[in-house]
Amino acid sequence: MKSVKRNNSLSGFSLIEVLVFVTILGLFFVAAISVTTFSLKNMKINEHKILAAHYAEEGIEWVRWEKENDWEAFVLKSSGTGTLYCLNSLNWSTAVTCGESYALGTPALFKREVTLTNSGTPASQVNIKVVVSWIEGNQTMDLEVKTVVNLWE
Amino acid sequence: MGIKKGLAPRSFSEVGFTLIEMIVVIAVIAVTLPSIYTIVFGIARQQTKIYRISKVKKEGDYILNIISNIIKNNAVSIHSTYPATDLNEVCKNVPSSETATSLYFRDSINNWFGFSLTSNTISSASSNLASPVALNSNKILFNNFSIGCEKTASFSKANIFLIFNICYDTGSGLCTSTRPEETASLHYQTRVKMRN
Repeated sequence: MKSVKRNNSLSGFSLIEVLVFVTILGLFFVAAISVTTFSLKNMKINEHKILAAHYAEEGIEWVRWEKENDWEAFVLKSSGTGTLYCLNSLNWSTAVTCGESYALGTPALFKREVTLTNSGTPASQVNIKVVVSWIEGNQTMDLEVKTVVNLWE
Repeated sequence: MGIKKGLAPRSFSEVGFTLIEMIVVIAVIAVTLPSIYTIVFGIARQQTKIYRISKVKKEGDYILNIISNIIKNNAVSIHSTYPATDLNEVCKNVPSSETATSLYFRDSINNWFGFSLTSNTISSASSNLASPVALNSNKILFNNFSIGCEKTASFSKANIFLIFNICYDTGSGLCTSTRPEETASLHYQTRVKMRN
């Protein structure tokens, strides 16, 4: 009798015990994996933000270059209400938006648009706004950099 | 003794796992380990990429800012070599331009300073410094560096331009790698006008 009882108590876990254990383990794994994928996604977003900040600054520097080169021609590119250019490559396109053309960077994920707004008559100051946008998953991210240049600096 | 003898065969049959149990356990480990390692390596790769991009950007921003600020605030005349004298002055007449990998300047109290690229190091030299100071670390490579000046109108100061591409050294002086997470390269350009 003794040995039978002993055998019974040694014959493994009950179904409830196994279920509870598997559930806890499963919950733990699901939580761990969702935390890591979330942090991976955040790291990817941060990488893109670093690149976007660089592209925005590069755009500002290029526009400043154009301004230093020829103020008269530069002012004609701007308007009182703001003129928008697609600045994916560093040259003046016709004044249109980039639309869905995410052609900037390697890999090509970004688009860069610049808005030039002037003030004063005759125009002596130009506000430059560079917006770099990219698609992250299914949402569009934006990064904006602004600066002001004027004739007398 | 009698009890021990009675126990021995029973405990023998209870020790260890059955074949089925072992197979199940090994199968579960075989499924979970690769997925855990995939995630760990994914994180490691992403961290490498972010580290390299931010390093390249930090050094690039630093070089761009320091060179353009020093030139903007101090430069009075531009020279092709050092020590800066009237004989090696460039971008003095209209129109004239100069493109090189090094350029030197004279400031208002007649000291000279300049920037030059020699074997992947941008160094800042000056008459006040005993030896040139490197502006970048040895992890950074330059694919392309040019500094130059341009004078188009006699009534305005010359423009100085600076263009460079920098990247992270993926080993043995290369910017490229078969692994995309190891590469990080950025393009910089700016143009400054001297104030003095």
